[in-house]
Amino acid sequence: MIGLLKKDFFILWHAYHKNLALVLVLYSVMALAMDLTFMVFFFAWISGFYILSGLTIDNYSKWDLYAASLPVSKRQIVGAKFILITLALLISFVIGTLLCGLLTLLKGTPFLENLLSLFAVSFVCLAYFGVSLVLSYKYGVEKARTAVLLAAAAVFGCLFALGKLDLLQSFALPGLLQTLFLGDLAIWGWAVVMPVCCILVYLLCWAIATRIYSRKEF
Amino acid sequence: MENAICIRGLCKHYEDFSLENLDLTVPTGTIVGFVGENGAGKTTTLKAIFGAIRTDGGSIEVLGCTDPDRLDKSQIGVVMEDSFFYETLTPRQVNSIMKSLQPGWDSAEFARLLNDYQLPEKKLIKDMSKGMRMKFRLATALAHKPKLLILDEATSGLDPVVRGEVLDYLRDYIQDESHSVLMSSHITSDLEKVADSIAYLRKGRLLFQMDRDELLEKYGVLRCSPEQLEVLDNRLKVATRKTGFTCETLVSDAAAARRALPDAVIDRASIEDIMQFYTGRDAQ
Repeated sequence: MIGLLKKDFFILWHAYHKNLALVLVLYSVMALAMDLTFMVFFFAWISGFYILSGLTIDNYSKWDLYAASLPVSKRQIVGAKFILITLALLISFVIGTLLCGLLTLLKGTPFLENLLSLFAVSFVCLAYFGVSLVLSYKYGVEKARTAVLLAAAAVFGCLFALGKLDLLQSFALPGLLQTLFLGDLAIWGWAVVMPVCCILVYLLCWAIATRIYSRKEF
Repeated sequence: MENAICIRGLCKHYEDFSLENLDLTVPTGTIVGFVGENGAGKTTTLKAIFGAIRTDGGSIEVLGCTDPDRLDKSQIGVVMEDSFFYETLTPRQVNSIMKSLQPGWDSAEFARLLNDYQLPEKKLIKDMSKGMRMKFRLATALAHKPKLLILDEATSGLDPVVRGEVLDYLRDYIQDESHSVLMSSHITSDLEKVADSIAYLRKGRLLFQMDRDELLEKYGVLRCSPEQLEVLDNRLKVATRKTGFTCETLVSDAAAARRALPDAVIDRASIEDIMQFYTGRDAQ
């Protein structure tokens, strides 16, 4: 497993270290100088895409066929990708936390509010990239990327449109969800319930991806 | 262990191609040359051996194991023609990765092989020549000292000198009679030099697997007139090419053909001749 993580790290670092530095500087500058706080959250999004692109690189070098000749299980091969996504999101969370701190120091933005948003975005990204990995193993990276982006755009587009039209409130959420996400317990809903749900989705995706990959031929 | 690989009745069906009832044996301590035209099923067979594809029938025993999920892959080394680590890695990084992946990985042996093959350990794979890349793949397949080596076109792209070195290495590798090699190659002259037996796959079916010396002794290329050829027993004729007033015929028993046509010229048939005649026969 360590070897698989090393392999992806070496390859991705070679491919993206300059891009990563540029994105880090650019997003930080945009967040700090232009008051675009949401740029802090974008970093989690981008970091997951770096890892997903590793699958394209694997396809290019027909790595999966070679890996089939090595003493590593298919479970480990899939597991390495999921662990990498987790690590990438953890690192982006740490960087985001530092940027939130800087924003508070320099701009006086509310630290806890930003941190909570970053926390929520990171878990949404965890679930998003879990689904992306499953679809990538099933249909290939290119198709999966488009499908997940379109699906996510559709969901958020609908929510945005409903919100703009003041129709969101007319959708009766079950009482428990109302209380958890919109009521007095909202902080618990966003800080505990939502992350736990995202982790469950992620673990489910991990299991499904392993099953899909185990049935693959190279 | 008598055989490193023993395949019986292997079947694998694709939409446009099938492997049919393939029998193949790689006795321990030998090199088996695996030949056939492009698309004959060589790579499919090799993939089935190390479990990269599922089979539709038959059995495959590799190093005494019949279950591909339980095969001890640390005992095999594989060089596939076009699948390996991504090209932005260096030998040094591959060493670091393989130390964690291959239980028997020997960094000193890897360094020795890199040195033998004159491969700089900090050079990116993409900056290596085709020959260097192939040598690097070989070094990576050999550094954990596997009992079985599976090579898919491993000498393609190498210059004759390096090919000779690789073949010498393979000869040394099987010297202790506990190591075995299954090697597919289009460079049949290489197989004539090192292989103990030759397996010829054609359109998903094994035409024969024979001891190399027996094969080269048994087959012959008969050059004679069409009238002389008429005299020859049809069972000896594999395929005939007509060139002007003479015929070139691959005969399956050169000694018998010589007895039947004492005045005719019968040359030794190379593996390439045999493949070309079989291909020509099917085309007719």
